[in-house]
Amino acid sequence: MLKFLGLGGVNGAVVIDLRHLQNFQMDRTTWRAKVGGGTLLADLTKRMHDAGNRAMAHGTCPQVGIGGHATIGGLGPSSRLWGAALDHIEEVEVVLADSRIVRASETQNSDIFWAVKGAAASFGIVTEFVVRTEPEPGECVHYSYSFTVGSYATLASTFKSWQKFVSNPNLTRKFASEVIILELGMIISGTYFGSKAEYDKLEVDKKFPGHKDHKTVVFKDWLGLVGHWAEDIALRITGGIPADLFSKSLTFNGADLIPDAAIDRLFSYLDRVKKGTLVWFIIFDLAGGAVNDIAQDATSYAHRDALFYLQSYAVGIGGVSSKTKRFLTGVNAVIRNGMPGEEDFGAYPGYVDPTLVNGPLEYWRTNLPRLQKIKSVVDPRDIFHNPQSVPLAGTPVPTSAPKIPKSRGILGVFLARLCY
Amino acid sequence: MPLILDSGVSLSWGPSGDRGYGCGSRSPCQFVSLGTGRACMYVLLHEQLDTWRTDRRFISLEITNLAWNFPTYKCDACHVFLVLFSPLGPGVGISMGSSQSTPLENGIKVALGGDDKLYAFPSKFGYQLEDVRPYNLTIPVKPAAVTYPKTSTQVAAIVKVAADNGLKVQSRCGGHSYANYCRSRLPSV
Repeated sequence: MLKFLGLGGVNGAVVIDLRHLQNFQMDRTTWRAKVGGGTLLADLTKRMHDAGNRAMAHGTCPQVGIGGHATIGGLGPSSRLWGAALDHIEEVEVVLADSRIVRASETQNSDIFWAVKGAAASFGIVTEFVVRTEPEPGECVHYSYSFTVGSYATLASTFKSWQKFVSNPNLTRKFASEVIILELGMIISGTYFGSKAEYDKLEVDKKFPGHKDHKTVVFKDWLGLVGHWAEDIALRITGGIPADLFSKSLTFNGADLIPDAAIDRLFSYLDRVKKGTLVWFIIFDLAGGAVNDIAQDATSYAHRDALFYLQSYAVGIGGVSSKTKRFLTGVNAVIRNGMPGEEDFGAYPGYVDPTLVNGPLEYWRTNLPRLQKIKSVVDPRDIFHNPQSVPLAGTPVPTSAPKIPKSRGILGVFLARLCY
Repeated sequence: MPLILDSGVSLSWGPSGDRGYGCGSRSPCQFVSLGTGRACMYVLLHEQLDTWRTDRRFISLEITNLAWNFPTYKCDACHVFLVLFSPLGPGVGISMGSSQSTPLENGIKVALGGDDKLYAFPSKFGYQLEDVRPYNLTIPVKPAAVTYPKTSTQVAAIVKVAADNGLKVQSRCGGHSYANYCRSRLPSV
C-alpha cells in the first residue's frame, strides 16, 4: 500500500509544518474566531479566553495542534456540551493538491468542506479555521475516584456501574467522564460543567463504591480547569514527549454496551496477562451528547453513534515488546469476543492504528465511499497521502494492514556501531 | 558537564530536558537525557548510520577519542563527529557537513524565499531530532523535507514543488500522530 521508496529517486514525503500560521482574530459580534492552522490547543484556549472569555470543545493534551485535531474529530471533556472540535468549524481556508488556495464552507466548495470535517489530511492543508465559540462555562467541578488493585477482577463491578451510569440516555451533558485502568489500579475522573451543588445532587459517590481516594476540585476559572486537564496522569507521562508507543482503540455504540460477562473476562485477563511494561493505560472515554446530535452523513466524521471509546496505549523503552503488543491487542480481542453480534466497531481516526487491515473503512465507515469520490476529483494524484488516508475511488480494498517498517532497536544500533 | 572534543568544539549535556542546545560551536548539537532521551539518541544514530552506509562521501571513520569510556567517531571526509556513549546511555553529536541540493530542495528554497530557517533536508545534522521529531519512536520516518511556511501562499508553493517532483505531502500541526502520519513513512532500507 505504501511505497515511498523510489519515488523520483527521493525518499519520503514533504512535511509542511504549520507552526508559523498563528493568526487569531475574534469577531466580537458573531463570536466567531479566525484561527491559524498551526495553533496548538494550549495557545487556542488562552487566545479565546483573552478575546472575551470564549471557548470551544477540544481534547486535553495542550501540545496537540488544531490542524489535525479539528479535522479528524477532536473530542474532549466539553464535547458532550458543544460537540467535537470539528463541529465548531464554520469555514476553512484550504490549500488543495493543485496548489489552489480556496475557502470552503456549507455554501462554497461544500464537498471539500464536508471532507475536511473528518478527513482533511487526505484532501488538503487547512491554513485557517473560522470557528464558532461558546461562552466559557462558569463554575466547574473536577472529580476523581481512585481504586487500587489487589486484583483487577475486584474492579469489574465498579466498571459495570460506570458503564450503566454513563449509558443512561438521560445523563446530563454537563457530566464528562473517563475510566483509566493502569498498573496501579483504576481511576474514574472527569469534569462536571456546573456548580458543586449541582454535582453533589448527582450523588456520584454512591455510584462508585469502594474507592480508596475521592477528590473534587472546584474551578471558577476556565484556564484553571483546562490546565488541570493537562495534569491527567496519562498525559503527564506521554503528552508532549516522543516515545516508543503502541496503541489500540475500540468504539462503543450506545446500543451495544459491553456485557457483564465480557467485563469480568476483561478484568480477569488483566490479572493474568503478562504486560511487558509498567507504563500502560486502558482508557474508556465517555462521548455522546452534542456530538451525536449531528447526522452521521452531515460531516465526514463517522462516529455519531459512539457512546464511549476505548483507547489503550503502552510505552516501551527502546521499543515496544511483542509481549506488550500482545497484551493490548488481547484487550481488544477479549472485548470483541464478548460481543459476538457486534462487528462494526469502527475506529476513531484520532487514535491512529496502523495495524488495522482496512483503516479507512474503520475510520470513516459509511462516509468512505463519498470521501473516495471527492478524493478522486480534488486530489486525483493522491498527493495528500499517508498509509491510511482516503484511497482514490476504485482502489482495491486492502487485504492486509500497511507494512510498518521495523525500527532497528537498541541491539541494532549496537551491532551497527560494531560494524562501523 | 562539558566535553571538549579534539577540534575544540565543546558540548555539554544534562540530566533534565529531552532536548536542548549545549554546543559552544557554530553548529547545532543536541543533548538527550536518559529515559525518553535514550530513544531520541537511537533515532539520531539510526539516521547517521544510514547516511554513512549509503553515502560514498563517508569513506572512513576512525576512533579519535576513547576517553570517558565512549568512543568518538570522526569522519574525516566531511567532519562529522558522533559521540557514542554506551548503547544504554545518552548520545551527543554535531555536524559541520554539507551536501548538494536536489531539484526538490532547490524548489523548496525558492518557494520559501531562500530563508534557510524555513526548511530542512535530510542532509542537515539533527534532522531527525529537530525537524522530523517522530512522535512514535517505534515507526521510523524519513521525509524528503520538512518545511515551515509562513503564509498560505508559501504552503501552496510547497505543495506545487512536491507535486511537480512526484512526492506526497503531509501537514503537521502539533505532530501527535500515533503513527507519525504527519511526517511520512519510509520502509526500512
